Formats: sequence, structure tokens, C-alpha cells
Amino acid sequence: MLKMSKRLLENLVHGPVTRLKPREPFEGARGHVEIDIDKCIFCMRCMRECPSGCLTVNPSDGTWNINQFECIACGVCVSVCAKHAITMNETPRKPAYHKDISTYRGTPPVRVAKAKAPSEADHKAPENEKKESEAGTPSAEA
Amino acid sequence: MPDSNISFIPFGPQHPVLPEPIHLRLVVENEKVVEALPTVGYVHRGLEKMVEAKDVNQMIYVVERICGICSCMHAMAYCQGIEELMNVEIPERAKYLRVIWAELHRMHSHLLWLGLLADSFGYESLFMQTWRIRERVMDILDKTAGNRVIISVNVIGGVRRDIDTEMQKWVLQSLDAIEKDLREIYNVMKDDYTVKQRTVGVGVLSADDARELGLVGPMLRASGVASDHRMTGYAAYKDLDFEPVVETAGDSYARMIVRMKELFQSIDLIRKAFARMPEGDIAVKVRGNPTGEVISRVEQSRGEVLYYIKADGTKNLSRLRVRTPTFANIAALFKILPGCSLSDVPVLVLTIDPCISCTER
Ligand code: SF4
Ligand code: SF4
Repeated sequence: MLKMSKRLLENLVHGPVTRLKPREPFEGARGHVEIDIDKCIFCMRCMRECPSGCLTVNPSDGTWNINQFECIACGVCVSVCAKHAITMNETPRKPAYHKDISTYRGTPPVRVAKAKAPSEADHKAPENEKKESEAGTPSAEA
Repeated sequence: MPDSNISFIPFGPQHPVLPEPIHLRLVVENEKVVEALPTVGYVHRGLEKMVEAKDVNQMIYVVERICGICSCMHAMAYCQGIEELMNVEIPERAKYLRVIWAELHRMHSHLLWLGLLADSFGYESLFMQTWRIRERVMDILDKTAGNRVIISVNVIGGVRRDIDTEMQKWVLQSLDAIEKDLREIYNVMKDDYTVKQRTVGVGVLSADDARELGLVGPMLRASGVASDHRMTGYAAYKDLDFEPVVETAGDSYARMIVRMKELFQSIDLIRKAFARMPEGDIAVKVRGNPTGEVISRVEQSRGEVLYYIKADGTKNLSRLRVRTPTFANIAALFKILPGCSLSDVPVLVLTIDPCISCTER
């Protein structure tokens, strides 16, 4: 028992050994995924490779959706995106009441959007990074 | 039963000493256990079946979630299996990095276990001290890999992150501090009256019994069998000359000592790995899908894990089967529990280092 005494006394004056983890992340920590939708070309690669199935990329209407609450922050999407549109933020996502899906609107390249009526393509371009909520709609993935 | 002193006591699935649900049906005569029947099946998640839904690469992140504590080794075993199927030779540096992260995982697993053991016989102060040390190991993992537990560094063909020279220096410094603290704890654990009272001579397993029951890892080594799958030299272990830690007593105390010594061994291995790690790439590009079947084995902190992988050339595997170390070690409970006193049951259950989420997947 006496062997521990020195350590116990030290602990009394020593600050906490734990870090305030979410508030003081290490450099390069995997917190949450962010997208620069202007860079995205809607190739859907990230969606195909994402292990948790939390991404839905829809080139026809130019939306890029992520369910941050199903994302496991593995960073696969970050490494596969050829356009470097996805980045990993060091801080974890914010807590929320509902597992909302964040939707980002961008402009898919003309090749893909061509099939759509031009009027539709017009009004979605300026709404970059606007988030929409679809409360409580977890994806069907098991 | 004609003997009225016999009673049945359900131990678990919810019990203060158990971090995870396992049920033991104990037949006790007064305070003495005469029979123990373990039952598992409370946290089955069907992860092996997920090969049908997830492709070969996505499965890495699924197998990592079989068990948080050995996540890195699970991914390592899986990736090594797939690499063998696809005849991929990964870069030397990647092999060393895998060893480093695997050993860090072994350290934090053993430290967690030591804390739980101390907790199981009511030595709360020691429990807090071991977890204090563990926190430093978690910091190393966090800083080098970006996450504390599930570090997701392994990919088919290598690893995803590198540890640069500056980071290596920091890791080595942290390891020095960890080693110093560990020595302190080791001396307490080794000689303390309380610890000895509860562990020496409790739950003795002979080498023959251990072999016959098919035990693996520290359970086997504490009974005097020098079996460590790392000795086969997968990844970079072949270049890091070391000997398995063996104790001969086969009791709870021996199991504790084996794990404590393995902590020092891990520190040693990480130091050696850093010193011998060559420069170069950390991953090779892998194309195509695997075909064939393979068995891949890796020594985890609890013992040897076995991956059976069957692939048919499509992007999904046709079968994945995982035999985890705790599944093998649960057999020991049949042998060590009968004859012990009821108050020793929590300690004995913990000495097998049960990881139920591993066992049931
Ligand atoms: S984020 Fe990158 S990978 Fe995903 S659709 Fe856009 S460009 Fe493709
Ligand atoms: S970090 Fe992983 S889980 Fe999250 S969106 Fe990217 S690929 Fe999917």
C-alpha cells in the first residue's frame, strides 16, 4: 500500500489526465465530414464506397445528403473523392434532438443535368449549403 | 436433489463486475461452486452475415466493430487474409505500422483488463491508476490515428496513415512515461497482500488442461504453454525478435503477471518497430476482387483470432467466419469455476478477459 502513497499524493496536485476530448481534439482527429458542394461533380463515388451507407448523392436533382448520425467518421469518402470536395473536420458533430439528414444542393455537371428541364436547374443553383431537415428518417440500411 | 444445501444462482447477464452480458448458471453447495454453465447469446449482431450487404473494402469497417478493444487486430487479420487471397505484398513500412498500432491496442486492452480485475476484488484505487495509464495510450492512438478506439488505419494493401519522425519522438516519450508508471503499478500488483490473497492459487489450470480445452493467448501462456501466434512472424513480427511471456503456475495470479509482462513486452516491441521501420510507401494499390478461401490468424490481446474468408471473385465475399479468442477461452470456466468459492467467481470470470461482443459478433 505504501508504494502507492507517492502516486496518490502526486495525483492530488496533478491536474486531470483526461483531455476534454471533443473540445480539444488532436490535429488530424476524425470528427465529422464536411462538404464543399461547389467542388462536387456528383460522381457518386463517395456514396458507393461509404461503409455505413449514410451518403446519398443524387445527380438528377443536384443534392448531396448525409446522415451525420449514421456516419462512422471513417474517412473513406474523404480519400476517394477525386475532387477533394469532402474534408474531415476535427470536432465531432453537434448533438441534436433528431437524427436529421443534412442536404446540400449543388450544380451537377451539364452532362448529367441535361436530361432535366432547364427551369428546374435554375432555381437550385444559388441555394448552396442550405440544410434541410427530414426529421427521424433513418435510412433503410440495416 | 436430496441434498438441500444445493442451490442455483444465476450470475449475469447483468452483473456489476461484467462489462458485457454473459450468463453463468452456478450450482452452489453452501458457498462452494460445484458446477458452472456459461451461456452466451445476448449481444449477437450478425456481423458475419453482413458480407452479403457490404463489399470487400467496406467489410474492414464492419469487422473493426466486432470488438472495439481489438478493433485494429480484427481489421489486420481480415486485411491479411484478403491480401493473401489476392497475392498482394504490402510495403514493409505498412507492416511495421500495423505492428505498432496492434501493440498499442494490446496495451490498452491489458490495462483495461487490469483495472477491471482490480475492480472485481474491490481495489478501486488500483483500478483508477491503471486506467490513468491507459489514458496515455489512448492519447497516442488518438493522435497517431485520429480516433481513440476504432482507429480504422488498416486497408487492403497497407495502412492509411503514417507516423512521421516528429510524432515518433512524441510517442516514444509518452511510452517512457507509461513505462515508468507501469513499473510502479507492477510492483504493487506483484507484491500486494490484497491482490495476492485474491489471486494466488485461485482457479488453477494445468498445462494439459489448458491445451485440452483449446485455450488461447494469455490463458494458455499462464499455464506454461509457450504459444503465441505472433511467433509465426506475420506482419513485421518476424524481424522483432521476442519470446512469448510464459508463467507456469496457471492460477489467476499467473494470468495477471503474464498480462503485465506483456505490457512491457509491447512497449519494447513498439520501440524496436520504430527503430527498425524502413522508409517508403505505406500502401499499395489493390485492384480486382479476391477469389478462393483462406484462414488468417492474428494474436489479439486475448489470444488468437481466426478468420475464415471465402471469396468467389465478386465484390462481396461469399463467407466470413470469425473464431474469436474469448470463444475459446470460455471453455476454461468449466474447469476453473467448480470448486471455487462464490466470492471468487467474479475474479475468475474476469481472468479469462471475457469479450462477449467478440464472442457473439
Ligand atoms: S463528394 Fe466527391 S466523390 Fe462524392 S459525388 Fe461529389 S465529387 Fe464525387
Ligand atoms: S466518413 Fe465514412 S461513414 Fe462517414 S460519410 Fe464518409 S465514408 Fe461514409
